[in-house]
Amino acid sequence: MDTTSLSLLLTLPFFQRAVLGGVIIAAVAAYVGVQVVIRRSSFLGDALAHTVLTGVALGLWWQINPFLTMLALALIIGVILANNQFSNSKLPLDNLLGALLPTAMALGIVIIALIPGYQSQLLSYLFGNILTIGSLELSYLLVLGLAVSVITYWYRRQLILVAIDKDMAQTSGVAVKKIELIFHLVLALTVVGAVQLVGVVLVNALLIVPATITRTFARSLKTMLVLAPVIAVIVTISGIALSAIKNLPTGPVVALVAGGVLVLAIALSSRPLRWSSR
Amino acid sequence: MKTVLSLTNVNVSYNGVGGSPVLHDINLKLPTGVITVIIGPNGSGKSTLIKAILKLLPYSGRVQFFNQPVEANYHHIGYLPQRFSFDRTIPITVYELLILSLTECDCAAVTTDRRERITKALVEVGVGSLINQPLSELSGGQLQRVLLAKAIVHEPRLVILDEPESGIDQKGEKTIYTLLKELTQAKKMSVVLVTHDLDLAAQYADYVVALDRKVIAAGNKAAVLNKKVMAQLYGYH
Repeated sequence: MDTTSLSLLLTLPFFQRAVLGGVIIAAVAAYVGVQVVIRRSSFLGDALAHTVLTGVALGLWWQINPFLTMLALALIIGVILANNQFSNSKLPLDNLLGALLPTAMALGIVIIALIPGYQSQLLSYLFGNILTIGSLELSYLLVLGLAVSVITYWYRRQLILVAIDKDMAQTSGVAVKKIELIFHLVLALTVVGAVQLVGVVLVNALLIVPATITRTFARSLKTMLVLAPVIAVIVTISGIALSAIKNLPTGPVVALVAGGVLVLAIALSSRPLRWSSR
Repeated sequence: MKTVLSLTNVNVSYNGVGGSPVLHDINLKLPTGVITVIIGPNGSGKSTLIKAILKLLPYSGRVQFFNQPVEANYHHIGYLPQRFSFDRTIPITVYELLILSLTECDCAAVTTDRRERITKALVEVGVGSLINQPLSELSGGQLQRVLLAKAIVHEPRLVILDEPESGIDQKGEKTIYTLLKELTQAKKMSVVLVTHDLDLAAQYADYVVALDRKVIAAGNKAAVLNKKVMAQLYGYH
């Protein structure tokens, strides 16, 4: 595809919807992703994403818009995680989530496999296909992005403080349980949005990678919180355009571009990730 | 003398209330406006007691701050733990950490006021020049001082510190304890701290609590830092 064709593509409504939806989700996911990275909970987004595939499957089975069933299931999982329902288990949370993750995903895949005629849609939920979103899905993404933006802006300091250290937050007067609930619900909303763009399998490409890229050079939290969404938006637009030009699946291309920038950032950084602590 | 903290029948157990006991039937009335030092051997429950006071772990019994629940008065309390669990490789500056800790503090609503408070607190603990430094570039001693500034930046009525001298050289240790003494004298602040160092306790404490899973003794230095209590606490002869 040449530049003329790309210009033509930009005038097409489906491509405009894809870019607009992608930009919203990328920016929001990167901002929330900074908190996930600070919490050292990179697994959390992945676990939520894999679980919501069952929500998609239930939507297809019950013939309800899968976006809505996915959203409902994500919010339920968010509440369960926020209330630390697994705290009675002897297993650490990341161990438990890692072990339950394939089960949750397998359940979704099996349900979809049992519904005649929907197997072909499985790939688009696994790896995303933002190019196919309609006006209704775009409006859902707009509402979702707006909700996450307003909530995360309103509680920005509390969310960051709890992400840094819960004891520090509590003794600073922050209502930690409330902020934990808000964080997990915001994460659930973000994951649902990100699944539209990069699919269940590649959610961390939007959630974790931009925050990690910024972390390679940022010296302050402000830099990280501002630049992670900017990088995510640039990566997403580039990925969507490249996938359209080369006729490749959008989600994986966005993830590849993000991964490429991360490798470059690590290579160029004068002080690559400061693994050691004094 | 007024009481800053009163603990009534406080029991703390591993695995929450009902598990094996760590602290047994703690009853204390800590005086206001002085330095209270909690001493005891390893595993005696000193840090656990601090965490229970701050409601950072579950306990049975009652803890009150000026006859009110502690959790309603966090903005009047400063806290320096033995160690926070945060990731020091996070790109966050000293200023950002301190301003975040003022999030729920209604005492510093104006941004310029907050900046002034932060600068003043950092200068007081001797690290004023580090305000824009990332935490990852601080030494252990510098970080400890920054965290002490965090504990006093909102000008609390009570400061609780768990081994404030850890990671700090002798000179820094003296600076910190002298500052704490000044805070109690000039600002009528109350200080409750845990230490292993009996010399520091003898030098700076106004009130001492000897703890070994239960209160062995509590009172002024003469009443606690004596051979009888030390023998009971550490097995000295």
